[in-house]
Amino acid sequence: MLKIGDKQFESRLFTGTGKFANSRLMAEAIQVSGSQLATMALKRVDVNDQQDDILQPLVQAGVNLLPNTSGAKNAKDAVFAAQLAREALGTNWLKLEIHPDPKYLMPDPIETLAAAEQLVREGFIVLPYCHADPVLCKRLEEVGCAAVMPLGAPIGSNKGIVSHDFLEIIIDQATVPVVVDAGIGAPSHAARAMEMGADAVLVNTAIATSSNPVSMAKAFKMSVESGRIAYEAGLAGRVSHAVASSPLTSFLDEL
Amino acid sequence: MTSLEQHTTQAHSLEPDLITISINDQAHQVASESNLQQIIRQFELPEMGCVFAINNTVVPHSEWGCTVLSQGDSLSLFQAIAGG
Repeated sequence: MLKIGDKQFESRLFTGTGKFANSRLMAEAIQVSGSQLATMALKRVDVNDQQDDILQPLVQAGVNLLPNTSGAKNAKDAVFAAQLAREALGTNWLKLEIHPDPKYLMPDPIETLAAAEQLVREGFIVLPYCHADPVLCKRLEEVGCAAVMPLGAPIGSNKGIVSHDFLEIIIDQATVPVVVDAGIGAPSHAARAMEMGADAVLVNTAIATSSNPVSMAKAFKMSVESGRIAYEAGLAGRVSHAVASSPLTSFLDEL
Repeated sequence: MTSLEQHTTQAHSLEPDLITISINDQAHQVASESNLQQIIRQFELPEMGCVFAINNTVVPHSEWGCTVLSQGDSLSLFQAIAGG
């Protein structure tokens, strides 16, 4: 069973709550996905134009909340967002994300490391979203992050595991759980990450913006489970030439 | 703001039991000596998932009832929303 910080997870599929057509669909999809950890964001309230209350259905479903620091452009913003989130949601769990550039939403490694160090000192369970950078992931681990969340591809791009070779190094080196976050666009991508030995994946856009988010949530649930079983079973090795699966391949020649 | 709303605002500002505060840079009229708990109720916000900050300092939920507002106070108010 996956353990991060003080919590254990039966499901290795974490989900985002953004981009769903409505909160009812979001709650149903997350329930079907089996996810036990769902991300949320914080926004300044326009009291004249209030958002759907998405919190209640998640709490009722028993899903743990993982507030993010989306919108933070530097470490200072992120620490303030974290403090707000802790008070708003009553959890010290945090998805730390700092991306100053709105076009590619690339995580800022320097600000992320600085913020992580401070937030760990303040008692947060920090799960940083970061580039698939093996050195950075080690540094984040060393300052006390409970997991690392390197990207598969840019946020919302659905491009899959384009950072494959670097994720392999991260997974090989990590002593904290590795959650592949961002870019996973299809259940096969999630399965690939799990087969590589990722501890979990975080999926939002690929479920929320599919034609049928509830069915897609089920497909992701199955692919994550399948990928994990395959990893635990130990994938057979690759060779560059053919190796007969049947001992009788040469039978006809010997007649 | 419509002219009707402007008129209403002006009328209210003459009332002795109302004060004007700002929430996320928008002016709002509330009863004088309102506390943060009453602000949540007045604007029909969910208690869980909302958080106030004053001068970029988070106000703990336990202090909402005793944080009394004065004319001209400026609040930041955030709410948990869907996100990835």
